[in-house]
Amino acid sequence: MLSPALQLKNIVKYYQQVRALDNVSIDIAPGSIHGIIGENGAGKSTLLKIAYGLLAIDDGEIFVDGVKVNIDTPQQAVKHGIGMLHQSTSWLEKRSIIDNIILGDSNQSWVGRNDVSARFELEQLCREFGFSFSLDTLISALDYSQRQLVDILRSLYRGAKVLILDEPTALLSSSQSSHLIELLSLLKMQGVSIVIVAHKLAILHQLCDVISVMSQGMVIAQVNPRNITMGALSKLMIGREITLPHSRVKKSIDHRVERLKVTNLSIKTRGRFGFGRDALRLFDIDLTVQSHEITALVGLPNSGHELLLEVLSGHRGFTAGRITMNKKRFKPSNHYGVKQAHKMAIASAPDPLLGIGLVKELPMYESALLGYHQHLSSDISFFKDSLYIRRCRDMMKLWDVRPVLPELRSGYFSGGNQQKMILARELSHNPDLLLLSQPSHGVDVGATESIYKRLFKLREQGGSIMFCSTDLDEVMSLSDRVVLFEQGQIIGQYKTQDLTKNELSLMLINEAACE
Amino acid sequence: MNNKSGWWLNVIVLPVANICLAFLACVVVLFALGINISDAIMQIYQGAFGSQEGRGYTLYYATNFIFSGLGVALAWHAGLFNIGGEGQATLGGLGVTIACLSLDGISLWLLLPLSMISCALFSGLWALIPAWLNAYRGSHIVISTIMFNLIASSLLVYLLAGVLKAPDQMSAVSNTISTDSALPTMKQLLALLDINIAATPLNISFIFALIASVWLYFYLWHTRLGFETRVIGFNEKSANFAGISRQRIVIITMLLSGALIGFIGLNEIQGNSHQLNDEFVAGFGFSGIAVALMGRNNPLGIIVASILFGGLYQGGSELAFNEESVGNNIIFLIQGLVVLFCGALQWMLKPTLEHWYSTFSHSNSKNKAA
Repeated sequence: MLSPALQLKNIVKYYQQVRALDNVSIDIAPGSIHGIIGENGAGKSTLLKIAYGLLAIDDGEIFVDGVKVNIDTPQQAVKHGIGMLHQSTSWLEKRSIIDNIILGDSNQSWVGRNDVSARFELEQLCREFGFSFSLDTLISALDYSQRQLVDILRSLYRGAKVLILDEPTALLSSSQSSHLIELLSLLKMQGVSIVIVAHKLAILHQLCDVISVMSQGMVIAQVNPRNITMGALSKLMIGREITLPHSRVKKSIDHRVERLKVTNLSIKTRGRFGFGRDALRLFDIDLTVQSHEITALVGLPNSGHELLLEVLSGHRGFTAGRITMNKKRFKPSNHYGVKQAHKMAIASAPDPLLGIGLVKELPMYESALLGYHQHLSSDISFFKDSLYIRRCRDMMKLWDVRPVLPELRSGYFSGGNQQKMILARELSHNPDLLLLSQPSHGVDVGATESIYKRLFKLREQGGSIMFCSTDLDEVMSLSDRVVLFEQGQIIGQYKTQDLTKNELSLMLINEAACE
Repeated sequence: MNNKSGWWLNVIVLPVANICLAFLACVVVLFALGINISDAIMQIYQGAFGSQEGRGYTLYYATNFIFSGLGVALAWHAGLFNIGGEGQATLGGLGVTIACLSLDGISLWLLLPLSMISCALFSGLWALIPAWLNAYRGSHIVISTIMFNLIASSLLVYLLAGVLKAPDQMSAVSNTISTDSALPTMKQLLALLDINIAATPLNISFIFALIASVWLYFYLWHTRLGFETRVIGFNEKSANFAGISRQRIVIITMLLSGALIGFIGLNEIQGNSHQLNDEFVAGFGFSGIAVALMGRNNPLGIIVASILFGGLYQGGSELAFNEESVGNNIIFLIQGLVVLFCGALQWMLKPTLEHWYSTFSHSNSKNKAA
């Protein structure tokens, strides 16, 4: 039998006093697609970071092709043929694809660059794997999923034999997933092993040869997806079967009030020094939001729906039109800021992948105050740490944030637990209007389910929720109403129950075809 | 170190190891100069801590280090690198002098708060200009504060050569503050309690420095503004999301940071020299950076580091006095090496220490298992 392409053996890793990985062993067979699933905080990301040299192990061994190696830095990982697709890679926006790929390549000489051979090699890789972009395109012209493809190309160019994909969310979106499946099977045929971590069980179930299930820092099962159903898989992971709750089962509510009204709202950006393009980034937005309602704002990236959320949450101004929130009227000149928004019971949570909803360096109980610290009496009043720690612990228990350690640094919590904590914070102040961006990015199915339940509860209590999402399943199961955006304008509003997912995705794709 | 119970490595062992390394380097240099090592060390120790007088001077110098260390640390917590301590201390001294000279003759109880306020206002407003430039015009705080050091020293020379120059003096110094207006020394203060100590320049501003340290702790870790300051320092994007205005925090932080450093002027002029001269800051503003680095930007750490620096300063001058071949330069040598090892190279030993620690704890646990 062939020795595994990558073997992690008895890996142990601590974060402060928390045991994040407990004797984890995993074998990646050559030319296989290996999925890793588990709840938030199960240790998946930690394991991948160790394999790529981003974290040091406290105990254990790593073998590549049967040979024991030390991987302390990403450079060493690359040398051993391990490539990783990050959740957020930074790019030189104003340089071409080829420049970005060659950057930091150890085969380049100290002076001058050997473009010709690199270009030849890259073009060959592109042909081989069906990448369709020109190497001279500027990175700034690419969208998020294309950037992830460039990232894969970069890893291949550096000779990756094992490719680690950590939450390739953009590639897993419904419009891109067929492309991804094609690409991965091509890679597999070339003998490249793929390790993939994602929360979308359906795609993993379809894609993978082997799936390892992690829970609380241990691998609890290793299954062949062909021998197991989706339901059984999620049961393995969470301990019970998951069905995402649906919003449509609800009584009609008579005592609705108008919560928010947006009239003729526009954002016009002026080029620097008075010339350049005068782009309209939002144009004549008219929108009414009722209480007891969840509205989804849907569109291709940069269609303006994200901007509208930022305007409503007070993070960004607008140039024309009017916002009426709870009968209070705001013009561009007296637009509220974030602090006033919080006072008016407008809460917001950013895209979890941005990681800005809390401060990674602060202990969790302090992160749990962020944005609402204004409410704590006066500027010079003393922070009562013990009180905030207790409150934070209550919130953690209520939302099942693990580990229940308010004094642990926020950054040590897994992405999903961080998102739960952010939502716990925002919801604990009973907002009238809650603005969410990609509410379940990087959050596991079980946690997503509990988040949805709480959002529905907020709706029952009369709250209004608006959210942006690229995940159409999420839009379908969470929203009451879908508002479709294109190039800064609203092009249609639909009741979610009158739509099917296919219709919705067709509308999005048509939109793309029109451009 | 993410391992459990490894935190003290960074907080205690690492700084101590750094200091030892700095002293080792000192020893090498002193040895090369042909100075008797054990003698030199004894002289420094005796000079700094051996006598009541030495201890008084040590704490007197430590007061300056505490003020400048606190100021640098406060700015650091907001992600700002304030290296304008020299200029801010200069202006603080100017503020004290002007207040004391123009209000000469009023009761000390009244003068004391007024001179402190004047001191804080002068130095705080001096730091406000770079802060405003940074917050609203995006200029770099390091560049602008260092430029303001140069402007401050020119300003001081200009004033001492003209407006403030004492008419009956040859050198560029201001009029002398009357002894009634000077800060009470510790000797006077303790005499009230029937305790007799040697006469040193140590004065009540040392107590004030300790109060300022406690205040800084509460400000940073137990108030809303301090919370906002730390959030800005860690992650501006998160702060922006939470509705914290960076501009407001930069302005407030630099005002307070400048004011803290400015109190060096209080200690030096109203406390000791009683007249403004052109070199009273003597590098204390810059040393604040090293003190803050060594004290891990933590008030308690800063007090400890300040006393160490004060001791070196005082012990070093003692040594310089006795060893004529090296003279005053010995102080700068020792200080420079401490700054080098504790500041610039503060993480140099970290990987080594962690390696030792993990091997040690491993063999330990294996022993236990066996």
